[in-house]
Amino acid sequence: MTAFLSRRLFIAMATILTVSILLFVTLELDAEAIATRVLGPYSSDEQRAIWLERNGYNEPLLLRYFDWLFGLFRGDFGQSFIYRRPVNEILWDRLGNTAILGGTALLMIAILGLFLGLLAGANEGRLLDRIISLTSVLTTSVPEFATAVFVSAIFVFSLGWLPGTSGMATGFDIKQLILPVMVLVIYDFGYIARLTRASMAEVMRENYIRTARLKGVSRRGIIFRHAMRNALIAPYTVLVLQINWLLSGVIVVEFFFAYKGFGVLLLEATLNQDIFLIQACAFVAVLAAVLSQLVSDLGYVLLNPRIRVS
Amino acid sequence: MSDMTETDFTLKRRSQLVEAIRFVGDSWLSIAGAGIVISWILVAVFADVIAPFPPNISLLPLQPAGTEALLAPETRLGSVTAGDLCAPSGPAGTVNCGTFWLGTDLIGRDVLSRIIHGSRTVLFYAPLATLLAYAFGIAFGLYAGYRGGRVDEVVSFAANVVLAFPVLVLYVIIIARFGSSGLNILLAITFASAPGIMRIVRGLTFAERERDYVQAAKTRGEPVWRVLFVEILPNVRGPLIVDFCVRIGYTTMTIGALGFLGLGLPPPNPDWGGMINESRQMAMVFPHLVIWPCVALSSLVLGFNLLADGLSETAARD
Repeated sequence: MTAFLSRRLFIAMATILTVSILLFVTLELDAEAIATRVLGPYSSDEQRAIWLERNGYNEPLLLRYFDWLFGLFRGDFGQSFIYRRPVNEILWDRLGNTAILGGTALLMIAILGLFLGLLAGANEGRLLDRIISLTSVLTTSVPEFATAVFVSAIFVFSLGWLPGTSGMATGFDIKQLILPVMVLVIYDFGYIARLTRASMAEVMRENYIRTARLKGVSRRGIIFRHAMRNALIAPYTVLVLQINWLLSGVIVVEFFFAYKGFGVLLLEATLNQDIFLIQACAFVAVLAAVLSQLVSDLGYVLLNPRIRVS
Repeated sequence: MSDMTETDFTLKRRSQLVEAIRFVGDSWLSIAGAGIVISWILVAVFADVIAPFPPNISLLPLQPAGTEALLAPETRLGSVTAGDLCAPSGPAGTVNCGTFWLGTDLIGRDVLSRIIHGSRTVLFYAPLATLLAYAFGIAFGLYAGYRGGRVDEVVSFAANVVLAFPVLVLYVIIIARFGSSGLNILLAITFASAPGIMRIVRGLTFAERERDYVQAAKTRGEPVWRVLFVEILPNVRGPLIVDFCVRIGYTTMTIGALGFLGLGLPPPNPDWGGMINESRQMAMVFPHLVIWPCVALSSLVLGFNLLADGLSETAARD
């Protein structure tokens, strides 16, 4: 078990390092372009040369990379061009907002997806299963931006119940969170439900379930005491991995609802070639994704006695 | 003798096709899915015939849905003018060219025609990008799974690095860095999806490489590429076909999402995601501008997903 986990930890660290090299090579290699971006297109060559010298860009490449890398780990991401402020002052607020959005969505996805999946899996082949399965295919086939258009058409334009944008201009407003969360949940719960269904249906066909049934255990007892714990291992690991998906899902949803989160920040940064901001966002996103992968592996080990014991 | 083998071969080919059709026809889900996908392919192929108007020509601005197209006779419709083509039954100075069934967009282009022509864009880029990703994914996956050891570790690690990026984060960075063009979208999608495919193929190959027929091929002295692509690949195609359908639907969504974020194909040619992005601000007043492209895109993705579902259901039963 320790061997498995330490191997995973090693791979995770190697991944993060490789990603940092990739980011450095794609975005930092052309120092001249950065100087132009910082000082503006009308800066003179001397000004750029002085700026490059002062900021250590004339050092050897390897030294520059390590300098930059330590900066990243210290949380020193440099200055944003579009906001004219340190990236640090902007990034963490935005990440917090996205954490609220993504966390709420993940919670709802887990509840809805697991519940419906278990329900369908326990009733494999019956009408209820058919309805749940078909609904899941339908909702996962509609891309987030289309779902956003549809729910806005219903709840904003027709019924007028909810606000159509979620800019939170006058402080936090839970009403403005409903639609963005709804879109993320509608798109993703079906995936978890289908996975849980498959896992549950498989467990329900196992011999020990038949034994329990022959012993006279009630249907409820079979589902809750015997089947559920085994059926939830696979969905749990995938559920944690949805954090990676959510980080891309939020880009579309935040853009649509003008929610001031991490996704929109990354989009703004890339559209304006705000190099340091792109680096920070991408690095944080990968960090979150890799960490969630580790948590997922850890959970898998803890939940699965066959691996835990060996 | 050679005549015989040829007949044998065509017979075999035909029976394979029949088999494939029977396989699809075995499940209601895949029939429905294939129906949707085939309809959209027909729409794309015959777009010029079906679409009531040329997709990129401004007619009358901001017609609500269903209004008749009353055009000045000198309005150009592709290579001809409205006066040559349409009935002169409109009010003074206009001719009547038919109906804008879904209205027109912000600069007076027919929404229905744009959706019809937009199907070409999606049905060109999504399958092509998926096929490209498959070409790389299969090649690397087969090789890594077959060789194992060091080679496998290096390839798998590279795949892990790419997969560590949240997909859209990767697309946004690549396309913002290298510009948004059809080619860059193809390359970005290939780069981002090939690792996932590689993992699947690698796993399947791993299970396959110890089998007798692979050992036999090795003993016969077949070159590695032949063992991989002629011996192993046909035996692992089942799960790959299902995955291909799912992935092509996913790619369709991604291309839509990129268009929606303003990183898609450059205008003016219609692209469903781009159409939504162009008129997003007006959605409050003219919901038809965004709803119909969304319906089109979702239905196509649904088609691919139903097809995949049906195929895997049939495969699991057999």
